[in-house]
Amino acid sequence: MSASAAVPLEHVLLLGAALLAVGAFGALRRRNLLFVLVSIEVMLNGAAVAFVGAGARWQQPDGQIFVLFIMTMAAAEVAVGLALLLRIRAVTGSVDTSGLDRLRG
Amino acid sequence: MPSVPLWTIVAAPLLGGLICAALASRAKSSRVDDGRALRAAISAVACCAVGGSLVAGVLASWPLFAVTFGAAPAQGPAALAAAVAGNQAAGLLSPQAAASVDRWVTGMPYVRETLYTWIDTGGIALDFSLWLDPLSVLMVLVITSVGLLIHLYAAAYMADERDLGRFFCYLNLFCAAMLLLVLGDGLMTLFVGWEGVGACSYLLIGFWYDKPANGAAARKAFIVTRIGDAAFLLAMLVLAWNFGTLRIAEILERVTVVWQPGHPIALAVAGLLLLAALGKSAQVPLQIWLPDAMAGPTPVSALLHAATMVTAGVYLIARCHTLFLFAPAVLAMTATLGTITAISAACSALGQRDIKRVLAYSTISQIGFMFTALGVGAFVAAMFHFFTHAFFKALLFLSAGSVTHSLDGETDITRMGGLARRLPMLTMLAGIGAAALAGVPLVTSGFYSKDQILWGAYQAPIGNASMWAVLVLTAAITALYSMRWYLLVFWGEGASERAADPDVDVGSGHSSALHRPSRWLLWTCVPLAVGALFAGFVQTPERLGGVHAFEQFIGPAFLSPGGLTLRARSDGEGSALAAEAEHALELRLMSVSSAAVVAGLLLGFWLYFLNPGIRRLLRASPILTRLRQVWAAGWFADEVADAMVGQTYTTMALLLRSDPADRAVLGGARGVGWAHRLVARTQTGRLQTYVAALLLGVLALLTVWLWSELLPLWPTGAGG
Repeated sequence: MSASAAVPLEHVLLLGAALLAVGAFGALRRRNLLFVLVSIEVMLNGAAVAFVGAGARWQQPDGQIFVLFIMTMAAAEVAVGLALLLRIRAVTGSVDTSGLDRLRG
Repeated sequence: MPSVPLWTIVAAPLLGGLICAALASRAKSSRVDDGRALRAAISAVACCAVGGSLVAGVLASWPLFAVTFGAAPAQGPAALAAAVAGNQAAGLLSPQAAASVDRWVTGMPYVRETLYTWIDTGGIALDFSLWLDPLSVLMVLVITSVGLLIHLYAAAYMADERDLGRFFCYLNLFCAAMLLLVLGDGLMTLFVGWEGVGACSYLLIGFWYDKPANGAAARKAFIVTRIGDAAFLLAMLVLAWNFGTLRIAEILERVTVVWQPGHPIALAVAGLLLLAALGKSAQVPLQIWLPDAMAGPTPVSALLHAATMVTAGVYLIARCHTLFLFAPAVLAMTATLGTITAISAACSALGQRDIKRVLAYSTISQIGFMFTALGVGAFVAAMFHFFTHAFFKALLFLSAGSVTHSLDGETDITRMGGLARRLPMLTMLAGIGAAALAGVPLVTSGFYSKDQILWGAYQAPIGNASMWAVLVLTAAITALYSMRWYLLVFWGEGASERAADPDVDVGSGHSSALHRPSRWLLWTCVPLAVGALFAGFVQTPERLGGVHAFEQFIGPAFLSPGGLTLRARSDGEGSALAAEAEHALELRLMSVSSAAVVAGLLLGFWLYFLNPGIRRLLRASPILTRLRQVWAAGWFADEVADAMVGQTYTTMALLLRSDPADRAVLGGARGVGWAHRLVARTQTGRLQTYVAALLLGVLALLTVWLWSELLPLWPTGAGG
């Protein structure tokens, strides 16, 4: 593979890890539920990058197929997530995660 | 003579009980007038069931009579003398009947009938089978004949009872269980009957369950006898463990081969069986339940708690006598406990005021005589006393029932009196019963059977003169309290005339409100009275006719395989001279005991008839008053039992309520609660904390994995 072969796998993996870390940080730190969802999308893309890189490295189509699956799953997840978001906004009047702790022990 | 299967003897009352149970609720709910016919039908069914059982019992035991009295004098070890009565009966008994009879290793005739295989697993096989030998014949005939009379009596006595169906159901079931007990071929079958009679006893004592005291008495009887039942179970386990069978005949045969006298397992088994018998037969130290058991209807007291059920312990020991011969220490203990029971209960009877409690204590005392006889090895004498006791004690109870009936429920004998003029027939019947209980010499059955026991206690290897002396004293006290009971109830002045006596609490005068007992009630007692007078003549001492029909019949049941007996003290039995001397000695001892009985009777006559005023003087004596209190309370056996068992139990319960083990458990619970609160803190309810924990966990796992799996591969691992 001419173009991607120039990019070493380590770099692709580091990019994926960086995306995952950034997404995880966002998902943990953001108070706005919408941005939490966005952060989760970033994490998913970190994983997708790693799949693409691995598929290119071993010359296998599986990595790309998995990315398609991840995208499909992400679309579904966003749909559910946004629906929840709307309900939460309708019920509590805000999308702040710090108020959503009624299930504490 | 048609041959009758043995199971019909048990099945008849069982069927009767089931029919009564089916009719019970309808009879109870119907109105008094409508229910009359139904109640009569229930009574008829119950009486017919027991009557059928009696007929089946007579037919089934006929072959055994035939081989004993019909054939030539006993084949077995020929210690048994030929019977005078036996030869006369020879013509009556058909020789063909003898064909169905087997003979055991000792020469004892028996009939065995296997119904089906009950259990066959794990190295033990139990047949559900019945066994009829002379001992069972005696028990079956007494149970069914006395049982039938008491059923007939009860039909009239309980006629106004709404719940008659339930009553007769229990009574019939009792008969079935008792017959199974005495016909059981194996200890397990016997145990089914044993528990059955215990359950029926419980149900019948508490028959009038709406009075809490009756329920308490029923529970007490059940729980106290359970102690013995547990011992019975343990004995069976030990026997099954050692012999792999529970068939009594087989065990007794094996025992004589395997064991020597005094073998520890023999001691253990005999001890446990003795405990079982003590519980069932209300002997010291488990005698406390019987006086309270009088809470049941009078026919129940007569049938269960005098004539049959309480003698189950005597039967058990007699049935397993070979086992006991291997445990001389246990036999000695049986005799000692029996003697203690006989005299202590006789004294207690002297202090009672309730008409039935006197008789209850006298039952305990008379069974004490039987236990003494068993303990000294005079098994025939014990069964003979059982035989006569069943008649006269049932008669006494039924008379007491009639008295209570006519006096509108009065039970205090100090408030009775003067019935003799009004109820001459009842007075005569009760007089016969009391005379037999006292053992009036020569004319009553009680004399002959008690004399056999006294002779056994004196002459048998384990017995001795002091035991004999105690029993003679007991016989004298028995005569005294029989006289007291009889004279207070039937003679002297009536209660209303005694109103002037300041020491007697006077209730309403009963003389005006006298219900005459029906002819039916009286006539059902007549056969019992005949038995109480004449049953003794089947076995009389050598110098008084020398009839040995009873011993000839039942003696073979007490031969042990291998010819084991208690060693006789004198070995000069063979010579005619020694026998002559022995008979003379027997006669002398008999004169002494008769004199004691007569003395007791005269003392009673003087105290309670000729000179009642003297009793007021006696009451002034503090020692006698104290004695009377002790005896009235039955030696405070209840209080002692309560202090020893009840209080111990309560103390233990209190101790256990706050015990260390409990504390430890509570401490553990507290620790769990504390840990729970700690862990509950992590449950913040905020999703992001959970996600953080999840990520940290994944990171930790990944780190571990990397360190353990990937790090060793690092130098050769794939590079970029």
